[in-house]
Amino acid sequence: MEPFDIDRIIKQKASEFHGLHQQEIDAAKPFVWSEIQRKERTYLTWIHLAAAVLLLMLCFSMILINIQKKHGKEIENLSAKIDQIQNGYAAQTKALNIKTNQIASLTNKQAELNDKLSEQNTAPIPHRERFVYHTDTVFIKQVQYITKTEKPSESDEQPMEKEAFFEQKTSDEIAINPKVDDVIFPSYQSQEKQPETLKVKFGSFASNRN
Amino acid sequence: MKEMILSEEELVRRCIGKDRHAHEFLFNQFYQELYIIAMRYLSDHHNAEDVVIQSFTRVFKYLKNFSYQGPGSLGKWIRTILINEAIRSLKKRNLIEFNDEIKHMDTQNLEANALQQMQASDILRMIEKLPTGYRTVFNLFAVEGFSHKEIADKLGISESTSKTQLKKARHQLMNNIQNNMNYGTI
Repeated sequence: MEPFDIDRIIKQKASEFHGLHQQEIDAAKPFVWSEIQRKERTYLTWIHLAAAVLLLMLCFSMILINIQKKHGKEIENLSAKIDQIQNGYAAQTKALNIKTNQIASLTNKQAELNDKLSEQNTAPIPHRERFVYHTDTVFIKQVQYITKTEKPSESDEQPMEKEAFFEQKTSDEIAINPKVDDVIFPSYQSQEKQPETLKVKFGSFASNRN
Repeated sequence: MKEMILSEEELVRRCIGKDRHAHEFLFNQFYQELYIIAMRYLSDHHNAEDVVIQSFTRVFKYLKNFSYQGPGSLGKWIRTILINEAIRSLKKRNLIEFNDEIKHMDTQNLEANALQQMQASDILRMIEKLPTGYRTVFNLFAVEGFSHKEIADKLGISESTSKTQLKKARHQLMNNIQNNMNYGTI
């Protein structure tokens, strides 16, 4: 028998209906069918999941891009502001120093003015009525006594006369009557200071002119 | 299930439109055939089930790419998908082993009449018992009708390897059949 014949016969037999494995085939059928359906569902589910994941990724990427853009803009603005601040810093420092100096000098001036004002604001002397008293001045001569103790036995000197003693005392008091003793009346002849006299004011009899 | 009599074209159209009944109809129409083919290639029920599931999933997924070319074209397209899946499964599990070593083969003269009288199930059982490499090439060449070049492309082997594998497969198959006939197991 030629190989070709063998192949032909076997091909023919294979295409015929035969009951080989029929039991196993029938037993496996429900399982195979359910598995096919499960795989189909799984396949669809995977497709949906993949689509959902893709959509989520797209959304997230969009959100991230937007956030990045916003952040970029904010950073640009901030850097511009920082540059601006840095540029104006020196000038502002200078101006601040000037102002500080001005404030110091003004504070000093204010202190001076305050002092002046406080001086000015001290309580003014209230106007009072002035009473002018014309008083009669009475000079009381303080008699100066000089006590001399003589020892007759030791000295031959004679005691000085009373009149001579007074004449010797002062020229101003010449007018004074030596006999009146203690009371000296004003002479109005001399304005010179007389240190040895006591000035006594008697206000009780003075007249009020004003 | 409601009885449906649909042309292949209509069935495809409905399946593309996510008609659940059309899907079930397509599955019922091709399930047994695909399972038998899968068993011919994989010789294992568990692997066959996996390949059938994978094939139907692919069929429903890529049905919109199918172009109807007359009666039988849908079945051919679905069978191609299943065969490709079966080969992929074999490669994935490293089950295909090709032995190029040519041993002396005693050719047993099997009469064509004897083979003709055999049950299809017996012949298919003999095929399933072949080594994976022999079985794959023999199925692809003798049953599906692929050329050695196509087989070489599909399996990633040379044409000569394909030819050798086919020759060995035929020889082993004939010997097995003859032995079984001699011992009266068939």
